[in-house]
Amino acid sequence: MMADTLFHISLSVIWLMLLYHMFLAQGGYQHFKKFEKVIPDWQRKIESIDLPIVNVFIPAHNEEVVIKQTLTAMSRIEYPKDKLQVILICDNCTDRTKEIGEQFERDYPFMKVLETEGEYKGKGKSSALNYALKETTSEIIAVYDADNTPQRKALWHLVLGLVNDPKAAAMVGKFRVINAKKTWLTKFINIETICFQWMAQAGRFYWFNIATIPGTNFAIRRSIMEKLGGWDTKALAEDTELTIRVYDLGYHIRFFPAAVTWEQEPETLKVWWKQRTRWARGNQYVVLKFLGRLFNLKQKKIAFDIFYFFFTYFLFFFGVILSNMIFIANLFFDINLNIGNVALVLWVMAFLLFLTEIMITLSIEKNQLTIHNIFWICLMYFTYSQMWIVLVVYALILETKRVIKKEDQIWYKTERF
Amino acid sequence: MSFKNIHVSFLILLLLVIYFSSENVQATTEALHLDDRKVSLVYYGSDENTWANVLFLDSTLSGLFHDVDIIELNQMEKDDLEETDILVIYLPKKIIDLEEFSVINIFDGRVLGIGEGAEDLTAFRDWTFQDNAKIDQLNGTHLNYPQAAVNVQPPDKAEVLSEGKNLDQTHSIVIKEEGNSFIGLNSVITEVKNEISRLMYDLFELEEPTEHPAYIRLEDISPAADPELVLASGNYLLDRGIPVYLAVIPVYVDTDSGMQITLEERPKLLEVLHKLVEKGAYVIAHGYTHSYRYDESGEGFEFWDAELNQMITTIDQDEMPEKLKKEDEFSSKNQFENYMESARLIETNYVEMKLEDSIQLLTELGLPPIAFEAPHYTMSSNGYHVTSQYFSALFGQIQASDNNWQVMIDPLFIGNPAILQGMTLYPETVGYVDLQYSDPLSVMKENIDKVLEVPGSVVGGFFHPYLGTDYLEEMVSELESIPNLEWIDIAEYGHHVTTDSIQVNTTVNGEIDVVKFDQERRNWLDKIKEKPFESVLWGIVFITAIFTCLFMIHLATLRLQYRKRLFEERE
Repeated sequence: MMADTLFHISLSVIWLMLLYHMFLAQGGYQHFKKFEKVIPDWQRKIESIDLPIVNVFIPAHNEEVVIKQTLTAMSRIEYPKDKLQVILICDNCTDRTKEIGEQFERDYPFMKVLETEGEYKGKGKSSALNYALKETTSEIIAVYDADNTPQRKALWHLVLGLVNDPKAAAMVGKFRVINAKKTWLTKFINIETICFQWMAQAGRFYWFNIATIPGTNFAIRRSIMEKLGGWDTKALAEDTELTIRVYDLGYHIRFFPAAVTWEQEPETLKVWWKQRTRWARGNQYVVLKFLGRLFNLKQKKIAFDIFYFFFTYFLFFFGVILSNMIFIANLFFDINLNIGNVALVLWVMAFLLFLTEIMITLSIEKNQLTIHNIFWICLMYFTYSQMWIVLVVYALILETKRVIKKEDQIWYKTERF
Repeated sequence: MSFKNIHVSFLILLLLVIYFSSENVQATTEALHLDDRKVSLVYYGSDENTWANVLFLDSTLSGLFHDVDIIELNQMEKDDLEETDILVIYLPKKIIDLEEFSVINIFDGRVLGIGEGAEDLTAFRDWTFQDNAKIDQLNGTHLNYPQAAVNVQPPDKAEVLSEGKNLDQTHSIVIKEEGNSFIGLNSVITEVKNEISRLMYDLFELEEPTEHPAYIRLEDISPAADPELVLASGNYLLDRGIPVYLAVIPVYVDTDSGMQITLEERPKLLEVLHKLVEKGAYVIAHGYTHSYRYDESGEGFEFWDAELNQMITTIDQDEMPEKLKKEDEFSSKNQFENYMESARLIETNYVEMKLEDSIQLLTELGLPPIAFEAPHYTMSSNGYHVTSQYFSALFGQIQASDNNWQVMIDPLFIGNPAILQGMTLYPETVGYVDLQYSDPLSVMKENIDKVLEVPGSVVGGFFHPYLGTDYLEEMVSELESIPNLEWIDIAEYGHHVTTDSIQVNTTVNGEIDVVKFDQERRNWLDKIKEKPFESVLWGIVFITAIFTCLFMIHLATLRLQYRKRLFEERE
């Protein structure tokens, strides 16, 4: 009886989530079919107006390995150079990052190196961004991580979106994995990121007009940033945090996959583990921060989204772990589980759903739906996805500890390759 | 195929599932114009006679008030009377420590005390009671059996609504003083029931209705009935604009051969019944065979073992069951209760089987029933409970004891007494044309006269079609001479008959609406009810399967357009 109840709970939680993702996958596909249709119209409009001035912020902390490549990509970006300023924000750099930056500063007049000072210095990404915000005046701010290689048209598309969609506070582009073929891990991450963007980002935008600011490859209006008083320096997941506050102002964030950037992903498990732990903890922090004021939020749909995050980072994993525990208990003891074939069929359906959902998102991208990748998707279900479970639990333990000990967030910068 | 359409279809599907799992329709009592005040009927005592009185009072009150509660004095809780407007206390015997039941003594609403035990209620503390008396006349009407009465000296301001007499002594029997009233009789189900029913309007200041609802049942129409005579009777009534109620027994059992003949084997009769139903006649399921064991249909009892005078205790009708054991034959009360419980289970199965067979067969033959009438009106309280799960309307009278079928009560109003568990009673009050008497209508005429003394009482009687239409004409003319007679059209009250596979409803325009569930869908719904969680899971499998297919289509579309997309990107 007890086992039955627990099993029912875990199945309900898991399937609520899976059904929602199924719904998102459908939305993502619809968004893919639709998002480009506005472009010709938008192009015509933007040609008739005065282009806004844009600052590109590249927060960097010891990025000598990747910064050259990033700045090279920036030098090729297509936007009138008299309206553009690319700012490398060196935060507490002890390597050659600044030096490389200054090289570009000399070669390209629209590039500039800023170094964080005073209270802003050495406190992480949010703080660095806040510093740059204070030091500049442009109408639009675009943010790229230091390991990013945006396509030439990326920034143009972001600005195009903002100019044409006045209710959008920010325009979010798509990111792709540059080192996808490097290791087994980057193969998984590649699949994961494509899937995340076409399901969670595109899907949510299609159904609810909600997208999350991803931390890179997005542009936001300065007016909004100022209204919000900058980035939250306490949040590990500063992007999720910012997203919620933007929606609460009554604006939306558009997922516009025409703007593409390529970014480097962790090649080793250790780096992946650290980076993802930070994300998970960050999101857990944000969820808990806003869950309490869920009903004070002006936009109800964002409350729904927070609840979705809550599901993702708490309930869903709880459900999966519970179900795994029941499965294991069932192997060793007779726990009188009173459930028929339907559980088995459901298990198969979950796998099929997983497979088809990911395959759709992969087939949207060029050269991604290959036999090779399908094999990796199957493998992913039993390996990479399971790793997430352990990770979320680990993050939860760390967060709980932190809250109990009342420590501050410590920023961990992702190691580059 | 757009996604939103699929989404909408799912929603509709879900709603349908929810709708079909809650398909109980309640009979409406709106047509009854009942008073909204809440009545609590409190009694004390567990003997047969007390219980019969309680059932009668409940039946009568439920014909006047919407909300009537029955509470045994010992079971009373502190807040039982919190919402009560009228407290009726029936105490046929003195209770030594009545003052200890403070809930009834501090009640400050309207109180009606009945019986000598009620003397000791706080409400009547200023009244004077003397030794008991006997009366052989009540309000000028002679009683065939003298009856014990309470000898009460009402206060000066009180109004005596009814007086009893014994020789030259007069006793105040029904007395009303402001909020408190008293009936000085220990039993109200005897000859006095008409007088008591009549005074309810005065006692509770209810408006007296001017009309008398009425009906005539054409009784015992079994496969053995003469089609011509049934047709003649039915047509006669229909032609006069009188609603026809056909009490049909779908199967006839021959005593000698044990042969069963169904209506299906009597095409002529069936045709006649169809004709009448088409013209608006209502069918009452009068049992399935009108017999238990090998009695002849129309004569035997079906839901009561008349030979042993006990409830049905065996499904196998060949077997002669044992007499039910008494409580003192068991070492503990618990054992006795278990024994009775298993006996009731057999009875439940038996009643279910009979009712389902009857409804099923009648409906299949195109004669969907809309009410039930137990053969000889006999049935245990458990029988009524089972029946209420199938029917919402009952014709006849109520057997008021689980030990003796002869304890029968015949209330005068249409109502929903608690024992019927939600069924509405259409009481039979005036009897039938009986050839035993030189004037076969004499008893009926007497009964009508008595019933008419009570405002709003039902004039319900029945007629056996084999007697021929001459008697029917006489009966109808007798009834039609009653001023303010109003023929009952049962459809106006809204009734239904429900089994696992059939749902019969009356509709607003008086038609009978039949819904048959096919067995597969039924099984499907049963499964959903039995294992709701598993059903939801199968629902998820279904939804997921559809989406997986949809995703495959998307995939195929994307692959087909792949080259085109590559080409565009190159541009």
